[in-house]
Amino acid sequence: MNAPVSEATAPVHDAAPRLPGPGEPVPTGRLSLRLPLGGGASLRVDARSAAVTAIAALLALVLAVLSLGWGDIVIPLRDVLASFTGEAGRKATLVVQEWRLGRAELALLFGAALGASGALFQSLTRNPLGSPDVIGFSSGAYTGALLLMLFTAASPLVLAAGSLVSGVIVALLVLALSARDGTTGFRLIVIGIGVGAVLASVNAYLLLVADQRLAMSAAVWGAGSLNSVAKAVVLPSAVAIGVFLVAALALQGRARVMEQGEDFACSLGVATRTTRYAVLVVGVGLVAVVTAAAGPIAFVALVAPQIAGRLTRRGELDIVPAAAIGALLLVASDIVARLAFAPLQLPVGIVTVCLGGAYLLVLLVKEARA
Amino acid sequence: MSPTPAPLSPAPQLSVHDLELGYSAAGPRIVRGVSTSFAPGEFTAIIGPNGCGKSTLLRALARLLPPRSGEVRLDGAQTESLRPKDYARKVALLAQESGAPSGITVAQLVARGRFPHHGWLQRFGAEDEEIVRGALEETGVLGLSTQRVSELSGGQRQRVRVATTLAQSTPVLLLDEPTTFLDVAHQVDLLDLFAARRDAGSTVVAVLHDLNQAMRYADRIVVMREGIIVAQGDPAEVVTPELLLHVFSVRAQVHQDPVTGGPMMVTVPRASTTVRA
Repeated sequence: MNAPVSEATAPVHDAAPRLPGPGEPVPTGRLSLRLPLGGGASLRVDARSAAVTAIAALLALVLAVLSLGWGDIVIPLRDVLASFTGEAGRKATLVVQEWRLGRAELALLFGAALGASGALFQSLTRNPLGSPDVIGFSSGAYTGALLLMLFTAASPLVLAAGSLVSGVIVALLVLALSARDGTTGFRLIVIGIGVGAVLASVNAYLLLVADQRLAMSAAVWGAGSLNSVAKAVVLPSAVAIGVFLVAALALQGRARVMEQGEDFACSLGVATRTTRYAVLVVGVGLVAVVTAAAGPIAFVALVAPQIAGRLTRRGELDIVPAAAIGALLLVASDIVARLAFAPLQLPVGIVTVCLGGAYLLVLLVKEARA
Repeated sequence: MSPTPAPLSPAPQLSVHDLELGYSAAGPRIVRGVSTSFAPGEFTAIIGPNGCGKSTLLRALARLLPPRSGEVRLDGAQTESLRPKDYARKVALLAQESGAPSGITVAQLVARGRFPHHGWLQRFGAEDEEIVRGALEETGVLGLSTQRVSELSGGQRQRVRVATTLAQSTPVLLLDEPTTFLDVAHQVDLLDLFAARRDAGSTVVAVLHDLNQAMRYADRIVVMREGIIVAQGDPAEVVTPELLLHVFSVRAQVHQDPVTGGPMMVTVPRASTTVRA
């Protein structure tokens, strides 16, 4: 209470809170921060989203840096940090900069890309199960890669391109099959699961009939792994993911309006068809970069936006926190994949599948009890 | 009710010419060869039985449904030729509620109404803030601004949806059953609000189910049946017992409204003997 009121006359319940008058800001129920951009302009950001993003990104970075020292050759943190300024010994510099840094960078980048992609898909389908792995993209990319691996002597670059193209073809196929009167959402997911199941059996058949040695390496790729991704991949991946993330942020406002319904968005002047395709292309593009380089890494795209959404309590598309949580998840998963059964290195996809399975189980148990 | 805020730009003339509408190329024609126009400063009520095509007509006016043939024009320009955002700055639609309610808060949803007024780098500013506040106040939901839309009652949610439409600050308002989910006091409040917009020069087109409300508030009434307009004009001249029997298959009497002097109707139960007025 602002006005001093004597105890005797104060009402027990002051039911009606004072409403904002003309010129006063309307409380939105969200705390927002103004970031000055210079020149009098400022950017308003949601405080809770910003906090979640900052904490997740910081944790991901710290974990990534710490993990540079971990492995069969242990490097003290001091030497890890020194290797960045060129003040560490030759061995430490070799291990950290040449062997481990690229992989940690990829885990951060790919995790962010998967988290952002999942956020876009879940916004588009308005369904927490809408993610690129669920709608058949990953299975499609794997089918393309398998065909190339087993029947041609394709170079890694051709392999990446082939898996990307086949993934995009399957995504477009699923979209075409589910398109009717502009309704995506549930139809997209159900048809995606169906197409994905058919392709999964095709993939299993291909692995069974293939030469054993080829089948082994193909299976590792199919699990999604950062073990053997070349360091040269880091820069082009970073550029591609950066471009797609900028595009995703440019689409975010329109996609948020679309979440309130196609009719609503259309009557507010959103070109709904164009926006839907643009969101799909950017979402597929983000996950395609990852899949082409590392194989299908499951569940990060599904889980990261959900965790981010629960932490930010935002209730609408929020790409940046989802990307930060995605990066944290993949960095942590890759550390487990690398160290849990050392010297044996697991594909990180196996760790994320366990993570995703646990998440789905928790979700189902909670739903069943509610 | 607070006075109408921010003077609106002069309302454009919205008209339809030989309009044919359907939801798929092979499907049935829902609206068949309709021509009419909606003038600035005029409150038009569209009435008709369920499935007569009135909501479909409204969707075409809002550009949600492209015409199968014929055209919709805004100030003489074919609406297809206008950019979506330009159109959304002139024409707002309150559609019927569909889909799961959103997890965002009331103030956030109503702020979405400002979307067509923002460009690439334009941000939500003080003027937008004031328009959103005004829309929330006019519809009586300012005190709910921090609540999540999904946690509101049906009537509260409907008023929030109306506030979002008002926040779009367009000179043309298309309203599809704006009073659904509302108790009678809130129905009257909202209709008074739309009438005030009309008095300020807006074009108001509303699909209404309550015929007495339609006759009381509308300057002009458009009566539809099976996809065509069967009558249009001043409610006092258009609405007759014969028309109501033909369009709604309901036996009714039309009397003078003791409050406004305009027409009002009462239905006659099928079994009872008719008392001639």
